[in-house]
Amino acid sequence: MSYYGTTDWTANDDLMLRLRDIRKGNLELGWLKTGTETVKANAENPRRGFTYLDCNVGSYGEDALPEIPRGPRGSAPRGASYDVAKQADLSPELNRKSDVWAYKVSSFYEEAMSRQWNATTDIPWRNLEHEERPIELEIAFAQLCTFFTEVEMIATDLPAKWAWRMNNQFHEVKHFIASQAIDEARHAEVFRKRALAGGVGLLEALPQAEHSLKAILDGDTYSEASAFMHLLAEGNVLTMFRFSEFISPTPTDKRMFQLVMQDEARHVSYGMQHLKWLLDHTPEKKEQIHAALDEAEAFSLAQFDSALFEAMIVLAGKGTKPENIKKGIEVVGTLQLKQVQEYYHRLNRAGFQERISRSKFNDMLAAMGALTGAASKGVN
Amino acid sequence: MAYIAPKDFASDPAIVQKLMKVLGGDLDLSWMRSRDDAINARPSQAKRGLTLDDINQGVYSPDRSPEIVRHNFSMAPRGAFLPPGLPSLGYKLNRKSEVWSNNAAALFEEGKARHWAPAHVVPWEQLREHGYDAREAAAWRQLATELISIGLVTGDVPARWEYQMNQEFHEIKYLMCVQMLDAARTAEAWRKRALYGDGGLGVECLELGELLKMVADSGTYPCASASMNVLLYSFVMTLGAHLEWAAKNGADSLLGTRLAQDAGRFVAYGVDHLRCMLRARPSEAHSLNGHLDLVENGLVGWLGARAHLEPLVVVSGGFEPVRTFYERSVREYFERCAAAGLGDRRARSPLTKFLSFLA
Repeated sequence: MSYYGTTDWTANDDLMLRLRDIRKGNLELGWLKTGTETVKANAENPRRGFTYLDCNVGSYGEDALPEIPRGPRGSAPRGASYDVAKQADLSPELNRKSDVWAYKVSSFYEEAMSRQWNATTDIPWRNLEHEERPIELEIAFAQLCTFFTEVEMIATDLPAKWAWRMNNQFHEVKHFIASQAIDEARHAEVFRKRALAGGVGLLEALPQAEHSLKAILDGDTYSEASAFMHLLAEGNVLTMFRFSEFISPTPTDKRMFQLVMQDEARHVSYGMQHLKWLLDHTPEKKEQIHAALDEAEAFSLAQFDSALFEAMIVLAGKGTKPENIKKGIEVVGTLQLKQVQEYYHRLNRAGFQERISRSKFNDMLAAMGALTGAASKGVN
Repeated sequence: MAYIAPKDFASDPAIVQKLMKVLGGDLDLSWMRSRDDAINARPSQAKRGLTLDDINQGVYSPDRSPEIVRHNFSMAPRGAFLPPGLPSLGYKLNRKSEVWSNNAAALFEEGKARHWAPAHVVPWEQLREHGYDAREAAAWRQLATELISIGLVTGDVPARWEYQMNQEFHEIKYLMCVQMLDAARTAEAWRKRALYGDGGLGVECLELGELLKMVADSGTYPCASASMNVLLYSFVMTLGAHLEWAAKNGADSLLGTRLAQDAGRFVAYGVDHLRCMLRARPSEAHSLNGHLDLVENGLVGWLGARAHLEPLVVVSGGFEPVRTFYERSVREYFERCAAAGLGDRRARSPLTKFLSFLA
């Protein structure tokens, strides 16, 4: 499976002669005649620093990138001079801009770089031992953290699966999804640490959630996988993060959710802007995304019944007594509606309104007696 | 390729019934159990925060991971209860010695603590008075072009293997994400360096392209790790230090320093990864050495390429500093190979012959 190049350099006389030449100071300087463009790039806004937006100039810029960059298939960066026939072909599989691109992707990357935080030091872990909470709430919170530890790594594995298949002309996207990979690894890390710092530990893995994760990882195309993961799954998780901040038993936990939320929102925004770009530039792919979301929504429906659901009820009601459970159900019922409502809102913003009437969630909402109520507000 | 649900849950009335049952107040709560083996993880040093080493205790410790993982192919985190029905996510790296290094957790922590953002951290305005003549300025841009390529491809290499790695080894997966971002930042920082002011990119160095393809197409993860982390990044690390030495302004000096610092983590993981693997399976040294023989040949092609060597000579002010840099890089690389358990590579390596051409 390995590749070992086209030349045995140790048996190459030219190399020896060349080295002797250079050693004597005889430089050919062919690399000076690049034929590449000279541009003026500077930090437009010194407060923001020198960003990729400032580098969007001339042939180097993302605006100059065509839908199909014909020719480059190797490691030459966009705008560099390269030889089509001699380049080492890395066999990229995603070679259309619409396969991967998103509006604002450079901004998302720059934001990610400037907002990296550290789960080791940015959470006041020492405070946790002084923050009192009933054991049943700690157990429920440990279950919630187990779930988040379990699912967050999919948003690392999925970008990794596709990043190396992307043409190097799309470096802004590759960089952004590298930032997503570390964001999500950090999320898995922080929830694992929280579960283990609370004295309960990790609890049950969730088989139904795992089937969804498998479906995400095995998506046929990057865009289909992105629609499932960024738009639907991470969107749901974002709503859950917001909810979890609300029901967190301690200030330390609230801080944790505040930090993960800002990352997750960026990932969801990328997914929305990728879908929008895809539909704007290749509307013929709409049916393909519909079919992928038909299946994705079906997987998501199966997740509504789980240890997770009950853990959230216990946390929201602050206990397991009947009156706590009653209150918890009210709050979690609202969350369920909110998740669908916000998903529909994202579809709207991505220009995919027609998906809403086809959504598999509508039957569930109807069963909950809410289709024409709270959830439909998100549609309008 | 797509994974299709075993049934259409949307048309399964049992799903909604279950939901309504819970919403009706009929909870199961069987998951609410405390564990006898729970730990109370606390920061061992308050100043350092709660590290992975602090939580790697008891059943949660990687020391409990078997050499061959047979019990879990799902995304369930190490140490969680595994109920029946968890699917396989198709991991292909299920053997601890294929991926493990004892320093991965510490390197992950270091990677996060030393994160930097080129947009803000580099004093870009110092490039306005960069201190180089026209040829030197072009040489810096040419070397920057190469470093962009290195960043692009070496971000792909961990990506290519990370998603195939069992979740049991999450410390390694986390570190690979750090590598992906470190590599992205290398590409970003040097792209900005090349374009800043009256800037532009240079030419693709074909020999570097060949080398990067060899690294990317390594047939196994240990081979990929040996060729990228130990071989390529040994040279990138010393190149960073060399550029810092050659820099005539604060921006280039910082870029060189940070390149060396970030590259150091790749090298440190790679050496310990090989060391751990060869302790567990010494016979693997044969195939790794064979792989390195061939990839080192690719490195020779790059180190001797005009598009690389000439600009390096220009920014270094002559050939001698480059020879010294190359000799040091090769010597340190051989030392790392020996420390990893690969033995003395000097006699068999194409790099030895290459150095003799420089004398």
